[in-house]
Amino acid sequence: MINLLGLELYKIARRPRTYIAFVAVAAIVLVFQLAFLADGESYMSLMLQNVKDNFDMESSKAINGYFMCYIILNTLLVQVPILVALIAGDAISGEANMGTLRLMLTKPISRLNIIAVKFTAAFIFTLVLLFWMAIVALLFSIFLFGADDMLIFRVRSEESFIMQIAKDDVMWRYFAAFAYAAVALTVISSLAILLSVFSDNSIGPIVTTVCIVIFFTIISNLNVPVIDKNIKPFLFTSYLVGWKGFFYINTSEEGQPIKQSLENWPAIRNSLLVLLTHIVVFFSLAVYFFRKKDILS
Amino acid sequence: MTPLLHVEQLNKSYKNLSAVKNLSFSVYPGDVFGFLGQNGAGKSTTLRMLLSLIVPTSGSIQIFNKDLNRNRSYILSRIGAVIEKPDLYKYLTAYQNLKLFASMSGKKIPKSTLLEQLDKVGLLSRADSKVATYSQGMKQRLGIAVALVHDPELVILDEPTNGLDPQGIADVRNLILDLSKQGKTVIVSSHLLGEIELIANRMLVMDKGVKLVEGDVSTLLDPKKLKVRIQTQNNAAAFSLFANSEWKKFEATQQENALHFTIEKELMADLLTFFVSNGVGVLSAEPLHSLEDYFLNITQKTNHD
Repeated sequence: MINLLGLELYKIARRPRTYIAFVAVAAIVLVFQLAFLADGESYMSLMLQNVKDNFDMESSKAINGYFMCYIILNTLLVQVPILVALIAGDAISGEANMGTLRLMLTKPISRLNIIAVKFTAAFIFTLVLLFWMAIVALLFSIFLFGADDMLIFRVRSEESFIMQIAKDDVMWRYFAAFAYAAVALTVISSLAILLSVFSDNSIGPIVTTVCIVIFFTIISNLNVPVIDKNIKPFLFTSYLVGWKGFFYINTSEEGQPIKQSLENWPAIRNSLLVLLTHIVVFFSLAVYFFRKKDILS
Repeated sequence: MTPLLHVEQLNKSYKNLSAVKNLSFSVYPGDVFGFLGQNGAGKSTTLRMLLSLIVPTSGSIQIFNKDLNRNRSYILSRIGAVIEKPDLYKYLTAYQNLKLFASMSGKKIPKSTLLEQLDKVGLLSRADSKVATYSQGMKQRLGIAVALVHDPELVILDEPTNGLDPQGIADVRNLILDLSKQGKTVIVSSHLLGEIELIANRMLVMDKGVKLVEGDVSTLLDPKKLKVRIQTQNNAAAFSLFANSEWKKFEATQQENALHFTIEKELMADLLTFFVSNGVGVLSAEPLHSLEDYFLNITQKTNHD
């Protein structure tokens, strides 16, 4: 199994398309960083306009590495599922398309092992991609903009407000957020692997995964009571942005942020459970159908 | 002798199509077993079922005295196979491909053996070239190297000469004969019926998913009869000479540029001497593919039935 996983990672590493995701992430992050370097203060002044009177932080200090990373992740974690689907959707179908699946299955490897290895390899790819994001979006932003207290702009019950997290209380939240994102993205990769089992070409599962994510995301963002109650709780897309929960800090009765606190840990935990359930279901279905599949390619 | 492979009442159906119907056959250790049939006869489906690529609808497959369903890994570790065209990772080199698939076979294979295997199939000088740059023939040879690298006891080759030039076809034929000399059991399917005739000792003929015949090549083909194509300096004169002699009891036809005879094998030399001694020079004499005739004959018979 370990040997097979090594071979799978070797194949992924040798494939040029693997690096598209890393280049895309780096390019998008760089654009953000350059834009904020050039004119970040205007953006921040605009955001702070309504709260200027009761907020004492300078807008130049508010644009720091932590804040930048948060802004970037807000945007990127919507696009990254596409990059993950690009690799995971190709897992079985790509092999079928090349004809290598046939050759691989004439070797003494069980189909369960093949799916397990593909799944693990996709998970490792996701981790490496997130690690890369952490380097370019967090560490490089800190290098460019420095580190200071982090501002979070929130809207709750039609009320806009800003939360301030002390700079020595931020880094663990990022670790937790990246770990959450890894679980969320693994749902996408396990869905892509499941779809990949049914196809003999890579395009189908990749496009279908992306379409499902887009379709479910639209539904997840609809504010209709009947959908809120009956559909949203069952859609994995409703939980993809749950990582933000690690930046929602509890406040004291005087309105002061409480360090090391989370506003709603049970909600984050439940989101994680829903995502993990999706992973288990998608993985099990992939194994079930792959074991029954006739290799005709 | 205990069969190395035994198939019993094997069936494979896809909705309304029966790809393989009630197929039973045995392959014995050391056999070069020819699998014959026209396109769509069910050869590839059967070979894929032997490798568990396709799940049979019903029936049993015993290989090395074990049930394939329950002992898949054990059985596949002792089999090498090329199914149709061997597709490999185009972005890897030949050596990398061989190393990768060798490590999937469950055995530790040293680099020297991998290089030796590439040398055997004539690809050592291109070992570090990406497979994307290979011709179809080179890919086929690399596929065979992948199938043989872990020294399997049973080798399954599905249409191994597809896409090869005449030299490549001869190389594959020699390779199969070498494997046979090493005591390995080989199952080979081909639509090039002459190839099977040259290399197989036993064969099975399939048509529309059904077995037509199975047995020794020498028994199934009439060993005494030979169909031969002879070109002479004057075919018309030769045919007339033949028709007015004691040879006329044998079947003969006059074709455009040659004469076709069906005679007993041991009389072949006498027939040629007969022409030469009567002043008709013989330009060439070549046996026709008796297996092809046999195959057409038997499939037509079945169709008529």
